[in-house]
Formats: sequence, structure tokens, C-alpha cells
Amino acid sequence: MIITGKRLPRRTFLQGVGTVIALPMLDAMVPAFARRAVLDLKAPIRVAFAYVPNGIVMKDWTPKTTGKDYEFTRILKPLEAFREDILVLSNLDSHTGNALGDGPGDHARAGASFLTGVHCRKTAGADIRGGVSVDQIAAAKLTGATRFSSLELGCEDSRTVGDCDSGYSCAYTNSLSWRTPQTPMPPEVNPRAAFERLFGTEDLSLDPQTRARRAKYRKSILDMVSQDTRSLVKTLGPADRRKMDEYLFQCARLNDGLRVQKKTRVRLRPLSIGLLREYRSSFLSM
Amino acid sequence: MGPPSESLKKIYVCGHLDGHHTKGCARLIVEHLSQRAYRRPVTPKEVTQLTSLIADVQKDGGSFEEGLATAIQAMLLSPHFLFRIERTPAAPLTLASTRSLSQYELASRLSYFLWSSMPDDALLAAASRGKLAQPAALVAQVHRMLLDPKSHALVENFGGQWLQVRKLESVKPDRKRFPEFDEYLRLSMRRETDLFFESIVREDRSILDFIDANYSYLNERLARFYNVPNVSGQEFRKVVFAADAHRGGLLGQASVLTISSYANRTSPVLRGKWVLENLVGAPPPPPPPDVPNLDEAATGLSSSMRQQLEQHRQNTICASCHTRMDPLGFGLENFDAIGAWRSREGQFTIDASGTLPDGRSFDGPRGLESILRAQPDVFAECLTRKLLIYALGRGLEPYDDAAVKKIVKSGGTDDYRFSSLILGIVKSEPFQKRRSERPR
Repeated sequence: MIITGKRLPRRTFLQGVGTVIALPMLDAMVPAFARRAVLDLKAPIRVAFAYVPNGIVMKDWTPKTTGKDYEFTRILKPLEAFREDILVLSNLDSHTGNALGDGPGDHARAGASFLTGVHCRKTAGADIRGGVSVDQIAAAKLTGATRFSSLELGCEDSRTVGDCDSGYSCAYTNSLSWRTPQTPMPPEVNPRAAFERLFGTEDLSLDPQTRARRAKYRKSILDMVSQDTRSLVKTLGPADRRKMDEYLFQCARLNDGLRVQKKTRVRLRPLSIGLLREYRSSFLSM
Repeated sequence: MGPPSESLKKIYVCGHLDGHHTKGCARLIVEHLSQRAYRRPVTPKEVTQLTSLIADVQKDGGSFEEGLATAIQAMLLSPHFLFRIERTPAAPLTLASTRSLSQYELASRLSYFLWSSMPDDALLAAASRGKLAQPAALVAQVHRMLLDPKSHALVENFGGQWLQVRKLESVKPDRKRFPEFDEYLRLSMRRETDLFFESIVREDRSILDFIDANYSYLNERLARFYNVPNVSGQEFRKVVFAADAHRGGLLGQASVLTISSYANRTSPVLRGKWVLENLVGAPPPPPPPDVPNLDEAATGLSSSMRQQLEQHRQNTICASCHTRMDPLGFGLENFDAIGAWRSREGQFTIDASGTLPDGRSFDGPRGLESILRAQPDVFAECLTRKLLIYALGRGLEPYDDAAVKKIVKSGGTDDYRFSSLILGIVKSEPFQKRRSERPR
């Protein structure tokens, strides 16, 4: 696990590693904007968790010595420039990811316990029970500074139902991030969808007034459907109600995003091609 | 502006010129669209809510089109569009109660079951006239829907899940051992199973063809892979197999054989489990804690797979499930991990015989198929359960058992034709009614 305030590696992780949970990405690309107004903004500190499900060649990963002056191993070498900002922590094995009498299912347990520290209930049915994950605790606490309180991204498979591993629900295998013990936050696995979520599908060629008006209408739409949903919920059974709560949560999340966007007045833009190249090469060098 | 496109014509029900965009027209457009989106009649209040969005935009100086676009966004984000809403009956305090679905709720269940999509005009019209409550009209709708190209969604979605052939997208057979496995073969495998399933739906064949049909759909690539002569070109076509072709039925299809194997070797256990789960309907429980794994490297070298598994079964805990799984899988050992026919593995000749716990024994895939074929009601019940889960979007409960038995029985009087199962499901109580959740 790496915790760092530097900007560069984050995108690298997003592209390369198994699954990433990243706190806000709003103006994550600050260096990409060569605009004063943006550069003057103090970027909020972010937290990211990256997970490599298929393991790493540990002898080429773990530094031989502890303490400040360790030698960077082959895999970590590209990060050497950030020595002052990096801690490499060992011995963080998660006991709750072990079988503890539950038999096979390491893949599912590993995912479910990574950020929760909880030994999940063995079930492939709807009665899943994991734990709240640390990223979601942080997201709930730090919400408001950025457009999204959290982003969950992955490389493949975001199903949350069915049996994915020896009697364990796919929710465990596929979600590192849990909002409640019963609510996995499945990752977005489609790069295009993730891109559009970050930068919107908004037509940036439109004049600012038109775009401001559209933002206002989006807010009225969200208000309208949230109101509809709340009155609808009263007529539903408990299981459907849970589903609707999820939907309301997502509506609220979108609404918060709009509010923050208005407050910071940051124009979102994708990375410049040059910077993408830079990220790509630093990723490849890892 | 040129002539309006087809989709614009569908939206602008009272004309496309600016002069037509009166207040009354806005209501008409919105009512028409939201009825489609929500798959039911809409209330005047819902229409007002949406038209007021249009009015707001126009008040800000936006165009009618922009207003309408905003209203359409609202419809598409509405829970009434995104979810299939079925009101739960008010439950008495202690008992679960049931109620019949409304005609519109039933129309949605039907169309999402058979088409994975919203009801079309004909189905909504039938619902509005109360036709779906009449058995003959309901049957006619189901037949119409099964013949419609949209029922391909049933093949792709249900078939993909039931047979697990969706897994084909992510399997990665060992490149060194199976150099002939490439993207083209992967896609061809999936296509074969889709087309085969589709033929059973479209031609309303007996579901027992899933077990031992004498035909399938092949292109040149797959035909070469199967050693079937005289198929050339990329297009798939129906091929009737010769008696000694080793193919026919799902268990001879490379898709099924590949997804039930490991990347580097076959697994009689996984294949046996696949058969139990998907054709017999008796899935084994997950393995108990702390079972040792097979010594994979040694397979085919120091001892055959069969010997290793037999050793595994010495353990009585393991044996309770493996005596059910392994023999079924052994029957398919003549197919390698990507479904090619073989007679040897390493230095060992393949022994594809098996004996079931009840004493029946068989040899090879053909033998396995006749064992499955001998109990058509077992396979029919398995498929019925899977279809019913798919149709209802929920797991089955003990109180659904009676309905399942009834569907299977009526299917049996009709040669287990595919439509007989579908009709049985559509007419069944779990499909026609909704149950309140028991208060907790």
C-alpha cells in the first residue's frame, strides 16, 4: 500500500493496477491545466488504494532493509524520485482474509477483507455481510471538497451477484469498497464510462451561459426524481426499498457533485495528449 | 433543417414546426413519451411535472427543443423508467399475501423475460384492453414474442448465464499447450452455442435436443477443430453430424467444454459439477475446509488424472460429493481443455467410463448423454428452475416448488417443447402474482 501526496503516480495506478479506489479526481489533473486560475487553487489531499489481485514477485518488491535509506528494488525503482514522499510498509498481512474454518475462497476473502479488515460471511446469496471499508469512511468524512467523494475503478467484472469463488458472492470478489456491510460499491470497469463520469459528456464548445443553464436543469431533474423516489419508496417492500435507497444515494452523489462544481468553478478537461504520453511511459517503466 | 428523422417523428406527435409547439402539444408529446418510458399509463400530475420542466427552460430563454430534451432526461433518470416497479400488496401483520399483477406489470414481466426490453406497442395495447388475462390471447402474445428477433436476448442473456458460456470472454487457455486457441476460435465457440440455442427457440424444438441433438452450427474454423469435413467459409451453417462424429448436444460443444476446464488441463470435477448444476439441477455444496489440491504438475506424468481423483475420493468427506461429480466428468475426458477430441493424455490412454452412485455405469460422452436422456423430467425441472429464476429475477423458494412441478408436468405432455416450458412459466402463479415480503 502506498500513500502519497504526489500527483504523478496516481494516474499510473489507474491505468495499470488491478483495482483502484481513489478519492476525488475533480481537478486531479491540476498539472494538466496550464491555467493560473486553476493553479491558484489548493488541491485537496487525496487518498488512493490500489490492489493487485494476482500478486507481485515479492523478492523484487520488498526492500531488503528497513529504515530511511533502503535501496529501491527492481519493481519500485521508478518511484525512487519520490523517496521522500513514500513509505513502503511490510507485515500488513490481513488475518481476516484467511479461511478461519470457512474452507476455500481466498480470492473472495482477499478482496473483501483488504480495506475492511473484516472476515466476510460465506454466502453466494443475497445475505452478504462484509464491513465498511476505510476509503468509504474517509469519503464520508471528507465529502464536499471535491466533485466525487469517491471513485471505484477496476479492470474487469463488476458483478455483485452470483457465486464467484467457492460459494462466495461475486460482491466479495469484485468490490474492495463497501459503504455499509451490506452495500458493496462495485467498480466502474469501462474506461469510457469512467472518463465520462469524470469529465461529463457536456459540450464544452457551448457558451458559458448555456452550460450554466443546463447545470441548473440537471439540478431540477435530480430534485424531481429524488422527490418521486421518496414517495415511491413508501409503497415498496423492504428488499425493493434497499434498492431504491441505493438509487437515492447515487442521485444525492450526483447532486453533491453539481454543488461542488459550482462552488469551485473549475472547468474540467481531459488530460492533454502530451501528459497522457508522459503517464504512459512512466507506467510502462514500472 | 431537413425533414425530421424517424425518431424525431416518433417524438413530435403533433408536428415538428415551431408553430405546433403549443402548450397542449407539449403535454401530448410528454404523455406519449413517458407512457413508453414508464411502460404504463401516466397520471396527469406526472405529465404536469415534466411539462413544467419545458416551461422553465423556455422561461430562461431556451428553445422548445432544449426544454423537451430536459424533460426527456428527467424521464430517463426517473425510477419509473430505470426500475420495474411492482407495488407490494399491503401485508397483514403476520402472513405473507399475494396479489395478481396488473396488466401493465404483467406486460413488463413478459417483455423483460423474453426480450430483455420494454413492451412494444402491440403488447401495451393488449395490456390496455385487459387481453393478457385471457389465456388464448396470452399464449398468442408469447408465441409472437418468441418468434420476434428480439427474443435473441433470451438466448444471449439467459443462455449465456445458464450455460455459463459468458465465461468464454475471460478464459485464457495455456498458449503453449493450446496454440490453436485464438480469438477467432473463442468467438466461434460462443456463436455455435448461441445459434444452437436459438434454433431450439425459433423452431420450438424439444429441450431434450440440448442433451443429444444430432446437429449444430459451424463455420470452417470450428468444423476443422471438430474434424467435421465439407464446411468452408466464415459463415455458420447448420451441420448434421455423422453418427461417429463425437459431437451433438451441449456436451460436445467446445464452449461448454472450455469454460468447465482449467487453463492448462481438463477437470473432471469441474465438468461433473457443471453437469450437476446445469443439466441435473443438483449442485454439490462448496468443498469443505482444508482440502488438499491435486498435484497438477504430476498429471499425465506420474499418475493419470483418474488415479489422482480416485485417491482423493478415499477421504470419506471428499467422497460424498466427488462420487457424484467425478464420474460425470470422466465421461467427457475424451475432450481436452478446449474441447478438442483426444484418445490419450500424456502417456495414458483416456478411460471415459464412469459409474454413478446409484450403480448405473456408462462409457464416453454418448453414454453420458443417454443417462441424462433417460430422465427427461430431471433435465426439464433443472431448466425450468433456471428459466423461472431468470423470469422472476429472484431465487426460488420452497413455496415455488408446486408451480415448478406443474410446469414440468405440462411440458412432458408436449414433448418438452421449448414453448411449453415458457408458457408454463408465464401462466404460473409465481409469474402472474406478486407476494408481499414477510414482515421481519
